Amino acid sequence: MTSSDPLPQKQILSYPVRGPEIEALICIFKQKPVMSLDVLVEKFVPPEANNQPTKTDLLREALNFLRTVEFIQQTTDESQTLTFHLVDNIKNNEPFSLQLLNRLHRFDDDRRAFRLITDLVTKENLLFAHRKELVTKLEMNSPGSYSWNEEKLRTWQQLADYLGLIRSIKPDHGDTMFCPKPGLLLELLKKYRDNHQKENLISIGDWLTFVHENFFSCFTERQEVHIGMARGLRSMQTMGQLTFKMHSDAPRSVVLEGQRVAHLEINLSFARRAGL
Amino acid sequence: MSKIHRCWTEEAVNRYFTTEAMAKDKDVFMQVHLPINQIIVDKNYNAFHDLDEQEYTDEEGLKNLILKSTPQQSNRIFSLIGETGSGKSELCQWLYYQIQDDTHIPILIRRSMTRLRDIVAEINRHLNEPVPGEMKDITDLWEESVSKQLVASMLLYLQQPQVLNEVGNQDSYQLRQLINTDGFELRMRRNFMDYRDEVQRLDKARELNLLPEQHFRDLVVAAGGLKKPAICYQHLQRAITDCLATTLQVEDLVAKLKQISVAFKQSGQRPVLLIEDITTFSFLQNDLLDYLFDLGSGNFDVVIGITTDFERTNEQQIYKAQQTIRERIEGRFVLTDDQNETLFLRENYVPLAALYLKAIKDKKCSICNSETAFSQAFGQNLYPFNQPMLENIYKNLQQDGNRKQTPRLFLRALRHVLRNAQSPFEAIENEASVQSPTAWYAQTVVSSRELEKLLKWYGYNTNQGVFLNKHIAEAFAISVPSRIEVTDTGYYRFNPRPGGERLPDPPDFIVSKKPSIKITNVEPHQGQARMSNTITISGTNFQSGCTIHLGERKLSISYLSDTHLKATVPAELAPGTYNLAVINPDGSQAHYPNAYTVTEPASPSITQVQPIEGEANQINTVFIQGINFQNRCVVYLGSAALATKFISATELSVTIPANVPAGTYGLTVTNPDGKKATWTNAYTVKPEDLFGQLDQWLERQGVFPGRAKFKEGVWKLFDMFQFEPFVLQHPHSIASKRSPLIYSRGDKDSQIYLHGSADSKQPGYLKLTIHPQTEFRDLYSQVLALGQELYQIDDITQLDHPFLYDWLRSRVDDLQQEMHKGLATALGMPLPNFIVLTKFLLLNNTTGLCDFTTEALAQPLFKANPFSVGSMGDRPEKLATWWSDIQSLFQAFFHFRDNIVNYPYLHQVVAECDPLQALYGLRNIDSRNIYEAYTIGSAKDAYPLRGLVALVSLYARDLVTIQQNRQFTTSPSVEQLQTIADLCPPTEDVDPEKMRTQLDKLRRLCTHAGINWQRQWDLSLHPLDDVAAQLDFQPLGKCLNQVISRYSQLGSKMNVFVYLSLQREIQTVANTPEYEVLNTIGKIDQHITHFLTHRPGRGDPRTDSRFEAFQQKMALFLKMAGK
Repeated sequence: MTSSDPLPQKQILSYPVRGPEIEALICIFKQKPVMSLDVLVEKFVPPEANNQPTKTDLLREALNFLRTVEFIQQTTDESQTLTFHLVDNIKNNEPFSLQLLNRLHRFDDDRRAFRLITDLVTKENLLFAHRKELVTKLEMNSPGSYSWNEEKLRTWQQLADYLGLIRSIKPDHGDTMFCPKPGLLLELLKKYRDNHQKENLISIGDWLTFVHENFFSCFTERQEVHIGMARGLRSMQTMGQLTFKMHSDAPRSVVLEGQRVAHLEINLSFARRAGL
Repeated sequence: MSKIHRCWTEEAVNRYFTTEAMAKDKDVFMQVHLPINQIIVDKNYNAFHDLDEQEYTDEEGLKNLILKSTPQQSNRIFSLIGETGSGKSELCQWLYYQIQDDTHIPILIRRSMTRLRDIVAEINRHLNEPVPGEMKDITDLWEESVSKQLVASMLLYLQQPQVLNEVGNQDSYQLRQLINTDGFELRMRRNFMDYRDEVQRLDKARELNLLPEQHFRDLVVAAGGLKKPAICYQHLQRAITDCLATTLQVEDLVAKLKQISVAFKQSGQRPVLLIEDITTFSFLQNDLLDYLFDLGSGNFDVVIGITTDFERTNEQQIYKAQQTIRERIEGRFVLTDDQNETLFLRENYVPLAALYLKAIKDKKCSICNSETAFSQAFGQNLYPFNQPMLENIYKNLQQDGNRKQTPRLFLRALRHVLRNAQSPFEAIENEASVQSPTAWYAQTVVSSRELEKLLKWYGYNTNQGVFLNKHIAEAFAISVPSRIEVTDTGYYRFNPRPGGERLPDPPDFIVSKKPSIKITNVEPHQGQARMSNTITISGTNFQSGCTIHLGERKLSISYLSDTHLKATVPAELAPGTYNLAVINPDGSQAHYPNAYTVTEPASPSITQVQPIEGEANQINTVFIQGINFQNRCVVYLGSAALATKFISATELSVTIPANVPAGTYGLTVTNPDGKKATWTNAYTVKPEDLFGQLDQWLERQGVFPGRAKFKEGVWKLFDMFQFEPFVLQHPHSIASKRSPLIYSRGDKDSQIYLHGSADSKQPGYLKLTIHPQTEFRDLYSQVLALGQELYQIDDITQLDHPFLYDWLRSRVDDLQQEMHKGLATALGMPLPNFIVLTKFLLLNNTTGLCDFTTEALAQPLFKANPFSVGSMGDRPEKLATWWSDIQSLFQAFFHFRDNIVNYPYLHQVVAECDPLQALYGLRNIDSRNIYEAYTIGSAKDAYPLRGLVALVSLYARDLVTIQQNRQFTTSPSVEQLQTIADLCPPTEDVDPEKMRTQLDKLRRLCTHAGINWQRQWDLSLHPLDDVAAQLDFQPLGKCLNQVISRYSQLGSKMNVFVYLSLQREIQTVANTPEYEVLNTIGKIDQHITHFLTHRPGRGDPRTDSRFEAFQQKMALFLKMAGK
């Protein structure tokens, strides 16, 4: 077998990619793990008028991003035909968002750029921020090789929004609300429950630590729960999706916006509806 | 016959009473021109606004409007509409004489200039160029060349792809057969000769129609009928017009107009083209109108005379029916009403007659020109008519059995009388354009036929009898029986006809007795002070223009009839009783003592107000009780008048509007007589307790009048979170060319519905629904506070943004699910499936796509020629006009970006659809079940989805019909295609020139052999002579064989989509010049073979030695042609 081409050198946030597009690619790879570039172009890139050459740049960028995050590998044969292979450890039944967040959180080389932003926002307990402000803060916190700019922040924002980590809002009010979406939180609860206790009653402290270690940071510099996470959970509670429980002797309880909580219980009817 | 006084000559009559305004020279014209003072201004055009929005204008107004233009302004068109003879030419001529400033130069295209040459000559006059010598005239043309040229043009015209498309292959074929017959050409030739002879004979053009509809119908019946005869007829007419226009060099006229426009503009001038009658231009109308309506084409002011009939029947042609072109008409002016009556003539026929009669008479005539009794009896300048006779003539003018009051007919009738040797009352009886008037006298008293006629025409018909001036009877030497009484003013009085209809009173100059005036009643006879009141006065012999006096006060009056008057008693009249007097304009008067009493009214008083308070921003009803309230009294809250309902003299109800600021107000009742009652601090408007209302709604589903603030809060959040609740598309599409489906109905307030808050939810409206949920009290309070601007939107201490986001997202999701569900029910399938199927139908029709695969459907739609078979009509064409909307809708649902398709989603939808099966569902969609408010995209002129759905449904119906009946026969048939394929020359180097030479030889042989060589063959073989065509038969052969092979292999795989694809391919092949050539060669072969084998009465031709050579040549040719 031909050996894989080396990883692209482009910085992870320099790809002009969006979440839905890369998930669509992975979805197709899961059905057919090995495909040539031509096959992918035929599927994803519509032909141009008057037999003009098809515009494959964006598709190539998306494929290279997937290579960078090690979802796929690329090989080139003698005739310079490019073939892409889904890496073996991509699980079919695992949500794309969790798989990607997990990868992005684990990188400890230059690909850390994605998590550096999440870490900063959580550390400083921000709920709203403009990309511009973040660029300044990031330059101060992680100077040097990352060359932060608004374009990179925009890529991060689009990816993070799609993955459910944040919510994009109208630029007048900051352009990002750092608060995970209920869909992501539920997937994380489900993942934790399936991995650990198989029960509906979940220790919030343990769960947050699990998320913090594997997917994205949840605790501020003062080891408090990030405001966005707290409000996201509380919203789910008010919407009737979760119930907060507290026993005075419960270990590893946390304070969510002034309310001490030890356990989370997924509402049963909601859990059924959400397929949990 | 009576001998009458004549002080005019026939020559003078002929000089002044011309049929056409243009037949007079300027002096004569100005002498008898009566100002045209009543012209209707059409409100739908700019001129109406330029003329201060007056309903009518006059000739001066029109002239001034024309003179307003500057040399640089683009074309301005004024249409002048009227019956024939209603004064259009008169007005054009008058404008021609009057438009004489330095800038505007009038050019008059007279009705008499019926030939193109004359018109161009008139234009050349202004360019200082000679009269055109080289210009062709219709009379210069030779009939045989015209008819041949017309036939050839029609054949070529019918083969244009667009015409073929509209007419259909079958009709086109049949028409060409029909045109090819000698009978058709002969008919065209004969019609042309008739027309040309008439033009030569009359020296003027009439409407040219070389193919009258009846002739066409006869020919069509003889040819066995057509599917779309009306469309075919239109096309043939167009072909004839085009051909004649080319032959007669019509473009020269347009070129001349361009030339004059440029020349005038350069010299700072502006031509004013006065076209007396558009029909002057006969078949040139189209080109001329096209040029003039093209606003950028020149700098003219154009006045076009158009007859009412012509405008009615040619509205499309004149105004092109399109708003944009319609707007290019600056003004539309109408001279006649819908009863064919010329407006300016209605009040002026007597002065008009007087002008003409004065002009023709001997100025020295002592009888007519002095103040003799004779002259007075007829009226100044009116002899030999009088006012009743002119009225009788005018009112009884007719043409073809219809009333028609036009100056032309009127003057024609006068001229007839003046030129006739008989007495006027005898002569007028013989004039066809005037109906005899009704006689209003009792027949028994009239002794002679002459007197009868004299009375009928010259008598004043009144309710007291018919009056005839003694001097008129004397002037015509008619004797009147002695028993007929004579009034003291010198009129014979003949009793009226018994049972005749009501007639006017005789005028004063006939009878001097004045009728007496009398008041019999005044009603009402009293009213309150400080209130105006209307009274009715009854009596007899009130005259128009009379005045009414109540005491010393003159009242304003409405004259109803000679027995009833209405008057207004003013509010300021002091209490008391007054006498009333009516004074006629002739001085006669009547008095009515103590006719009307003005009484002092009682003052109102308020005793109770209920309720005494209400909340701000709510509409409240308040009841006021008291005494002496009068109808139409008004209640004021502070100084603001309220909507007041008068219930009784002791009770009123008023409405306190929602916008009254909080505070305590006094209430004042003001009666119409001015008396008032005030209650201070009567009503308090409390500040609105919105949070209380919110609680009330949440807990008890009570009314929430201040809900608009809550909704404002919701909209602020939509804005912040960038939610678009009424927009349907794939959530992750950012394709720049996408057009989502948008529901837009009502304002922001009405798009949200608060359930149970007394909010309105009209049926047929989609709304985002919010239910009162107590568990969300905190969240709802935040929304309300946001709407009230108590919190800033980014205040994270007061607002729980994530919660607001999640809650609102769930509301939007519910709404969008409801939208999708409703659409799916109406469409019989999910909306994305409908979009995919619609795109497939259009791709199938315009590109021949048959494969319903994800990859094929991802290809974009482009503007392409649609394709129609069978009874589809113009539906494919209409559907194809939606290509861009369908593509952009597709992008909104199935593209991530312009050049990235959401492949997995598209794949999933494609897998759900079976296009053949889906056709049955699409066919049954009732588009009325789709909300009209759904549009594709948000542009102002975005198309409604309903329109697309209706069209798709109709198109699907067509396809289902083909599929169900398995109407998969191709046209031309596969057998025909095979014949042509067999004819395809086998080698690459077939030289069209050699083929031509062979064909020419063949043609000579045929002529020699007596075989009729058809003209159509030559036309169809024309590409052989065209070097540029570069005929290549090889690809045609390949292509035909492929199609035939594909068809034969289909078998059970044949369906309507494959059939359309195949038929499209065949049609493309059949439209190539190579196919046309080979098809014709096939026909020639067939014809000759048939001739050779069926030559009547000459035995077997194959044994005839004269044909031996021919057969050899034929074989050689066919070998060359590949057979």
